[in-house]
Amino acid sequence: MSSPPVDQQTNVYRKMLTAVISSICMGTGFDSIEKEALASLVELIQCYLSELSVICKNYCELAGRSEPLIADIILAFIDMGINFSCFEDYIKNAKYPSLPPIIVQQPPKQ
Amino acid sequence: MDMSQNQQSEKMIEDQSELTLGQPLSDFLMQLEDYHPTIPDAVTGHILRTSGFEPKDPRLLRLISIAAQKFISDIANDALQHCKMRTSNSSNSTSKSTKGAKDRRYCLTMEDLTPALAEFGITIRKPQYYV
Repeated sequence: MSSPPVDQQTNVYRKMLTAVISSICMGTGFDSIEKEALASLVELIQCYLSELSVICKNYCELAGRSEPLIADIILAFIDMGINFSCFEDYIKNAKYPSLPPIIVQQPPKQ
Repeated sequence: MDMSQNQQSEKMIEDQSELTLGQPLSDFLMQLEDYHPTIPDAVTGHILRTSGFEPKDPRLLRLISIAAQKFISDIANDALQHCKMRTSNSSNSTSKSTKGAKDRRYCLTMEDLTPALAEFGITIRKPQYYV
């Protein structure tokens, strides 16, 4: 069996992130996006999430816990210089569509 | 009299700042129960799990998703302003554009993304190849 083409080998989570970036850009007012810019933004959001989670985990472990609390996330936000006071306004004003939930494919019954 | 008033106002300001520091996030977290961010929980959960961080409360996941979403939309907004400025400048210089300002189409290009990211302190260079 031949391997699928290179485009289809990419991670499914990256595909979802591509859809996320696209919908955010469309919500912002763009009509189209260059492939390079899209790939850069996908890389950026993935890097951002990993960085945030590593900082959160470190704060959590510093406190001697394995279960994360909101306090760890707040400390990580402060560490990364994120202003979380404007999140509330952001989600009220944001008009981005949320993606449809992931549906697990059932194997066909025989 | 003035001194006491000043002290009172300072005290009030301190009280307000104490309220705004602790209060809003606990309220905000309650709102996240019904809110669905654009980034699906499964995707955020997977990326966090690969970094070794596993929150059981979905609201914490959503808070992180919102942070990432806001980051990207701030960048996109900046890039859009750059794009609008660039296109308006070029249309003014040619002054032959028959299209109105309303039916102009915007495309997010690396040309606009690079200065937008530079404002966030991110340097981006054109990659040599894509597979």
